[in-house]
Order: sequence, then structure tokens, then C-alpha cells
Amino acid sequence: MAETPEIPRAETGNAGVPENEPQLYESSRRDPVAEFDPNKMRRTKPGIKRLILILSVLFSFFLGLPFLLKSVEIYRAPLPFRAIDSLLNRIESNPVVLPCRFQAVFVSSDGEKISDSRAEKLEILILERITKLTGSDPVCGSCGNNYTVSVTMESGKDCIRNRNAGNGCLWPCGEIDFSAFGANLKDDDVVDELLDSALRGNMDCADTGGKVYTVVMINRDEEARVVVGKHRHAWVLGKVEEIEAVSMITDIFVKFFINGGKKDGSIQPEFMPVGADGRVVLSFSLLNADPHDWIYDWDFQSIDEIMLAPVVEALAPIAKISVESQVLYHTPKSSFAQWDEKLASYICTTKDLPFFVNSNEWHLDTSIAAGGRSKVLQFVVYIPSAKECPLLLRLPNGEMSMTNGFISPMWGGVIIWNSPSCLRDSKSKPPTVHTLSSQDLHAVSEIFMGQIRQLFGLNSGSVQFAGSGITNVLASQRGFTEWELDALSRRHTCFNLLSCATTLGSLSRLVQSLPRMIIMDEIGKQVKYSLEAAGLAQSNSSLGIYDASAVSSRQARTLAEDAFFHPSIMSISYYSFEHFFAIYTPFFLPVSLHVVLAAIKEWKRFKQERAKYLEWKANAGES
Amino acid sequence: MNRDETQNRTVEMAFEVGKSKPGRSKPVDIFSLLFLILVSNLLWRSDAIGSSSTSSSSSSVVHTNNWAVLVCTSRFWFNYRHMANTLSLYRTVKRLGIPDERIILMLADDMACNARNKYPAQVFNNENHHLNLYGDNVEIQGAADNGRHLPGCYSFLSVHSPGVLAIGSSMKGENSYSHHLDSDVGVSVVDRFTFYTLAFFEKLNMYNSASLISLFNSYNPSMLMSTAYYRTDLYQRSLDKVPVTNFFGSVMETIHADSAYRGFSVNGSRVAQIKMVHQADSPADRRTLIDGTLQDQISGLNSKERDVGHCPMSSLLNKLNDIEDVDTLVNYGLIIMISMVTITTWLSR
Repeated sequence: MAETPEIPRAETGNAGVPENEPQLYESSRRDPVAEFDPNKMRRTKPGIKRLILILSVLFSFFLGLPFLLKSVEIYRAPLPFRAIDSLLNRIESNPVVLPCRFQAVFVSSDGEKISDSRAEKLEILILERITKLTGSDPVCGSCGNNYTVSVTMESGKDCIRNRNAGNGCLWPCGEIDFSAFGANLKDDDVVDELLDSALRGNMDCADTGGKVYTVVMINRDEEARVVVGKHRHAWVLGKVEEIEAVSMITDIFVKFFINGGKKDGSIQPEFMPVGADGRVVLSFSLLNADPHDWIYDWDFQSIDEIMLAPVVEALAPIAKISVESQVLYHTPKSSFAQWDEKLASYICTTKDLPFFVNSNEWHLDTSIAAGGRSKVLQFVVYIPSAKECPLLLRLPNGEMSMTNGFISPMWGGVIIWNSPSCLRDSKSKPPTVHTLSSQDLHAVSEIFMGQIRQLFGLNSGSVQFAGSGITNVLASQRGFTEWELDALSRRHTCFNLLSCATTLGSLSRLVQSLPRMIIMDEIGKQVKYSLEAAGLAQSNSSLGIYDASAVSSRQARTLAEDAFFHPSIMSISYYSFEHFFAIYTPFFLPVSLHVVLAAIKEWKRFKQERAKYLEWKANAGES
Repeated sequence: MNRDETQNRTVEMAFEVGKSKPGRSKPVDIFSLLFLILVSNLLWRSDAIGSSSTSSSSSSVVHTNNWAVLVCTSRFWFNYRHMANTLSLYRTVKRLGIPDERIILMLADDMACNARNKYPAQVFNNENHHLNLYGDNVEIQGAADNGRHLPGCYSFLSVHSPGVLAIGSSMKGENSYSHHLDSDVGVSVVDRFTFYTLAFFEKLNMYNSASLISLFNSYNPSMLMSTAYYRTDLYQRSLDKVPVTNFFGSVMETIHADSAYRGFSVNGSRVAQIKMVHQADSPADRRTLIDGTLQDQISGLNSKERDVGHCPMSSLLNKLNDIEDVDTLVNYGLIIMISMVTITTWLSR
């Protein structure tokens, strides 16, 4: 408003400024009060209301800026980076080992001379030999380097133990009188239960860390018979020399109780079929290759009751197992089989096996879990069509396979079951639905059990160790013996802890490398719980509680994987600085430009008006 | 950003960016290279755990988890042969064993059902029409947008991660030519590079596996009318030892099941019955659980949507959510706004 009258005057004034100025000068020398030039002077003091108004708007912008920045701040839940790094360093430098306790018991019926020094000597020999067999480097999931070996010698009424026997769960001297049993000792199951009742009856065995692996040497005048039981003990029946006894004992300790029945106790990741969420889905399928020939069905309920329920329970510390089954039709295999005249059957060799599974036509992945993070293991019974029936598997050494089946690590197993009607020429009859008989079902489930064991890295059957003198290895109703489950728990504990630490380490590196990535609360919580579970697993493992440490290590791994694969991390929606810039500048830039320009203009005007007033005051003062 | 995976994966990508004009020979710029990028992770997992042995029974490393990603980004009828190239390669990898679950096939345009296609629902890669690539068992995942350049076009030159083997159909500045024109269909049906690649693979089956070096040696520059070349600086293993089925096929590692586990007695059902008395809930739960959770999930989703609020705000919100045609609403709003602005301007004149 004030500007408008000034502009025309300024324009006319511009033309006449050189004339006015000298006039002004003259007038200021002559008469300052008479010449009042509104361009240069004003009578009243300039008000500050306009300035305050503009400055308040500018000031409110500045005031709001921290609120704006706070509102667009990226929410990052705090992650315990130091704890993650220390866990990773700790696990990578010392592999997780769980302590094992061993016990050697020498029972002699006659009054053989036993002494303390003999017990001590035996302990030293056994320890030396075990250390020599296992090597100096601790393998992940093995018993480590600290073994406790206790030696108990019983002869008649005498009972001698070595000094470092440890406490709890030791052989109760004098409880069993072996001479009374006589020939019954040849029945392995009876002896197994007998020894188990003796070893378990001790109250000290119930507490934590009380698991001891025992080998009982029963001295009798017979040929040596070595049997490994279903629980945590083995026994040798017969007359054995001391040196040979030591080597037998240590062989059993190392091969069976430490390594779980395999020569090498190291972990191979392809034999750890547990999914990232700690679950395994066993998916059983019955495949009718050509339903025009014959159709088969099965009573899966009975397999579930007989075989699977105890197995699921036995493997509970290692994985949560769920079971499903289906029957499929029109599922030919994709490899070729040759007709063999001598055997009157079609022969598949092991070279054909990698191409046996026809992924295009076998729609095995129909379970809900197929898309998730659980591991799905497929167990297939393949019933060949009439064109390729009977189908047998020939091994590379020329022998025919006893099981007619194979496994693929991390995938599952296949059994070829030949229909009995394939030998008869029944082409004219229309196909009827047969059901697998209970004997067939039992045979098939036994082979499946062997395959499950192989997939978990154990021996498929109670395989005889030729040349090492083992007479028998007992099989368990639950599919796994207790010492096998211990070995599996140890391996899985170590594997899960290493996997958890690696995942958390990757997550922390990722989060630290992307400072503008949103980290939700849930991820922070999962990381915290995962670290807690890992700590719990480590403390449990140091105490020697195998199943509890397996459970907590599995939880730690599951939580770490959940945190790493959280959907908010997977989606690429990071709030980059360019994004922030692109959203806010189209509004704020023009507005702030106007406000700042207005403030500057107002400030300049105020200064100008003040200068005019001061000029007038000076002129008025002079005159 | 990727953490090291536990499984070995092979990702195979065929990018074909064709912005060529119709005609027998297509003057193409650099972007018309046919990329075959083969990525394979290294076997570091077993080393991290510290196991002493890495391979159990098989002597060579086999990949049971190969994935194939086939992308065709060329649109329009005159780029028929690009689609045919991709579908031919899809058929090849399926034949060599990769299942549909591990193949991602993305096509930019629909040639089979194009109005110009004289043979509807059929796509051929040879003028003898011997093979219909669009036959049964073709699952297509999605369409690629030809508007933007896929980053993979540049990735041949800028790949840094190890374990990558890359092939190109022509050198920089050269052209990549089509093979022959099918006068019946009216356009060229296959490119030279693809034609000779497929000829190589048709001779293969799952059993005999040629090595990668024989694939590369089969490319004759005079027949291709361009120089096919490959980049091996990121791939450690020597090419004459790597079978092509490691990348293009899927081979399972198999181990014979040596024996059965005879631990169960035939009358084990008696034991199970006794157990079931004590744990009456768990077996039944186990069996019906899978159906139950699915039902719960479905009903949960439905109930979330039908949640009726008491206050009018939430009912308004629900109504807004139910509006399907948002565009017309926005258009109406804009018209109303503009008319209001003009009216008020006229009034305040």
C-alpha cells in the first residue's frame, strides 16, 4: 500500500533527481524545515508491527523444522551389535562341544585280583587311546577334548573305582549276579534291559548331566561277543585280554557313542534336513505309474501308528515333525530301464537313479508347507506300470538291491514296490483298487525308517561292522537308539548355533551398512530372544544336557532366521535421502522462498524507513 | 545385501532386449545382445562348519537346486523370434530336468494369441513348424515391461560377484542376426545364436552331459555372422570339466538305501494303543491340525474385513475402502474444485 504512491513519484523523481538533489543540498544548507521530501524523511517513527508479523512467520518455520525432521526420522529399533559380534567370535573360535562321560566296567565272577593301581592304569590307557582316535582338533558337535573316564572293577564282593570317577550314575557294584544267568546272557534284549535297569536305577542318574556311556566287560569263559545296546551302554561277553579290552572299549566309545555310528563324526550340512523354522514335514506319497494297469491304495494310519508316532516323539528335541500323505496317479518315471532275460525283470542301475524322479509329472509339492521355510522331505512308494514291471535296482558291484530304494540328501527317498499282479497276465481285467497288505506295509515302513535315518546322517540299518568285531547292534522301537539321539542332538546344537551366529552377524552387517533402513520393533525383539536362546543353549551344552541344548539352539536359529527374513527387510522401501528431498521440496521450497524473500524485503524497508526518520530528526535537530 | 545361502543355486537368465525394426537383418545397438548369465554360488558352507570332508559319495559337485529365470522383454509382432527364443530355452531346461517350480518365465507380449498369428495358440521356432513351443505344460509367470531397461542389460559388463559365467551372442558394435524367415507366419522365427544353441542341446539328453567348452566351441562365427564370446574371469572352474547340465539341468544326488531298520514289531499297534491312552490328545491333534489351521486362516481373514465399527468414521472408512472405481471419484473431485475456483474468481472480479 505504501509502495504504490511512491512508485510514480520515484519515476518522476528519477527524471528530476539530479535537479532535486542539488536543490535539497542547497535547501539543507539554507532551510531544512521548509524542504520536506517524503522520499528521504518521515516524521513518525516506523512501526515494527509489520516486521514482527513477517518475522513471526519465519520464526515459526524455523521452530517447526526440528519437528519436521523428527517426524521423518527413520525408526530403527536398537540392535545389540556388540553382543552379536561377541557371540559370532566366540562360536567361530571355539566350536561348540558338549562334554561326555564314559564308564568302563570290568566284571569278573571268580575271585580275580583287582587293585586300585590297575584301575588307574586302565583309565590312563583308555584316555590316551580315545584322544589318539579322536584327534586333537575338536570337531563341531563332538565330545570335545575333556573326557571323564571312570573305571569300575568288580570281582565277587570287591568293588574298586578309580579316583577321577566323577559322581553320579556309576555302576552299582554287586547288584547283578551274572553267574546266575547262564545261557540267558546270549539273549541281547534281555541283557540290554538288565543293564539298563541297573544303570538307571541309581538315583543320581536322574539329575542333569548324569548321562554316562558305559561298556561292561563281563568276564566269562566263552568266545567274545560284543553288543551295543539301545540305551547308552554296550557290553562284551567273554574272555578278553586287557590290552584288547582297552582297544575294544575305546573303539566302541569313539565309533558309536561319540560319532553316532559313523567313522567320521563331522557334520555334513546335506544331512541336516531341518528347516529354518525348526520344522520338518515328512510327506509320504504312493505313486501309481499307470492306473490303467492296477490301482493301489494304502492304510497310512497304520504306518503312522506303528512307525511314525514314536519317531516324531524321539526326534522332538531336534525338529518339530509333521506328517502328511497322499496317493497320486499317472506318475511315470523319467529314466529308462533295461529288460534282463536272466532275472526276468527290468533293471535300473544306479546311474539311472538321478533321473528317476520325474519332477514334471510327479506333483509331490502339494502341502501347505511347501512355500514356507520348513524342510519338506518326500517319501515316495513307486508302483511301476505293467510295461516296466517288475523293476529291480542293480548296484554297481553287480548285486541286486535288497531294499529297491534310494535317497537323495535334503530331498527324500524313493522305494520301488512291484505289484504282485505283474507276474500274472491280467490284461483283460479292468483295474480294481487293491490295498497294500499289512506285511507289505510293514516292509515298506521298515525301509522308510532306514531312509529317514540315512537322511539324518546315521546308518540306515543296524549295520554290522565287519572286521571290528561287533556282533550285534540293537535296534530301537523308536527308530533311533538313545546314543544316536545324543549324537544327533550334539551335532544339531553345534550346527544351529553356528547358523544362528552367522545369520545374526549378516543381519548386523546389513543393518549397519544401510543407515536409512527401517528396523521394526519385532526384529529387535527377535534378535534379543535369539541371543538369549543362544546363551541358554551354550550354558546347557557346557553342562552336558543334550536335548535341552538342542531345543534352545533350534529356537535361537529359528528366531535369527525370522529376524533376517522379516518381510520389512526384504521389501526395498528404504527411505532414502532423495526420496525425502523429492517429497518435501515441492511444497517447502516455494513457500520458504516467498517467506524469506518477504522477510528480507520487510527488513530492508524497515531499515530504509528508520534511516528516513533519523534523517528527518537530524534535519529537525539542526534547525 | 544377500547373505550367503545354504543351498547351491544356479540362476540362469536370458535377457533379450530387442528394439529392432522388422526385416531380415536387424541393425541393432549394443542392447540387442543375447545374455546368458550363469550364476553359481561357491561351496563355502561346509568349510565354515569345519568338516573335514565335503563330498560324500559322488565325485563331482551336483546341483539339486537349480533355478532358471527366462525373461523376454521384446514386444510386438515383429519380435516374434525373441519370444520363440525364450520359449525354446524354456523347453530345453524343462527337458533337462528343471521342474516348473524352479523356473520363472516372463514374456513381454502374447504371440500365441496375437490377432496376427495365423496359427493361434501355437508358437514355432522353425519354419517346418515341427515343434509347437506353446504346447501343454507352459506356465508363464509375468510380463516384462519393455519401457524401461532392465538392469540386467548392463549387468554383463558390470557383474562383480564371483562364480558368474556370461555369454553374449555378439561383440560390441556387431549385429545379432535372425536365422530364417518363415513365410507362412510372416516374420523371422528364431535368431542364429539361439538356433545353434538349441541344435546343440537337442543332441543332449539328461544322461550324456557335454561340457561347457563344447557348447562354446560349437558356435561357428561364419554361421552365426557374429562372434559369440564368453566371459570367464569370474568363474573359477575350468570349462571342460563342467557339464552343461550343471547349469541348464537339474541332477539329483542319490545314495542307495542299503538296509531297512528292523526295530518295529508287527504288533507295535498294541504299544501305540497304550501310549494313546496316556496322550489322548496329541495323535489326533497331529493329524487334523493341518486342515484346522487353514480354516482358521481363511476365517480370520474374512472376519477382519467384516469388522463393523460403531462410530460413523469407521463406517465411512469402510465405505471408502469398498469403492472400487477410485479414478472416477478423483475426476469428479477435480471437476468440482476447478468449477469452484472459476466461480469464485469470477465473483471476486
